[in-house]
Amino acid sequence: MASINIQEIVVEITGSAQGILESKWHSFKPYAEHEFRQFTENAEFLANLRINNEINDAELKARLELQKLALKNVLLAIEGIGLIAAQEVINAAINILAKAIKTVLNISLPI
Amino acid sequence: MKKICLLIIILFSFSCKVVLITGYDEVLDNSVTKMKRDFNLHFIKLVRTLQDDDPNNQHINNFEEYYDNLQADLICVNDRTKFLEGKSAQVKKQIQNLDSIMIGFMLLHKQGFKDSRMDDHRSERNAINSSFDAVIKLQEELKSTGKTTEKQ
Repeated sequence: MASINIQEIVVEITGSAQGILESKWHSFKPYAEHEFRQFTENAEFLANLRINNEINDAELKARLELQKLALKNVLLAIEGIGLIAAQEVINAAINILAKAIKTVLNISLPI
Repeated sequence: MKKICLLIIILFSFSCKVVLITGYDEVLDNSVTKMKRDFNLHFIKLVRTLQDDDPNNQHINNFEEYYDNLQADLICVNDRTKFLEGKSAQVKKQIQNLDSIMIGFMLLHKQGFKDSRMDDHRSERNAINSSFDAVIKLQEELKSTGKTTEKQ
């Protein structure tokens, strides 16, 4: 009786996961770097305004609050991209397993 | 043989593609992109009034039309998120944050922006654009995954 080669499947799933994650990382990295740099520059800009008495403490606080909200949105985007990557890795793994089962046992899974 | 049976049971238990996140909405995507453009146009006009010799032309009353449209847009995008499926928490939170940041900016303007050569409010422009970009970026990623909004 034909059997499933687990080792072969593991290698295929690992390769697939690596490809997906590398591709996501390449698109995600410049975005994250840009946003974190921007946040740092904004904070530095506001600190300089306060040091030069262009703004008072209350205004600094209100303007930093906007920075915080913006950073939260960036982090939510990053969280979402991470979930998309995980979703793609899981579904690719299921597809690989389903194909292997179909080849060996001729059972089509409802994927 | 036991391993194969186990694999089949696991795969049948999934029965369909795994969905961890949803939330792509074309209307939302387009609305936020338009809001970003409108904000930047508004900001260019506003900064011009902050860097001239007239200390009064930046008063919020002179920009009422923009803020009225902005609030209408925020109501529309907030309402739109109500129709998103269950696994769209990140998108919903992003829109709530976007609402808070835009209202926060409007309140800052209401309190008064003074003329200044040094303070061109680039920190607010950057933060608001980052906030718009974060929504647009996630929408793009959700769109490119294609089937993430399919009902499972």
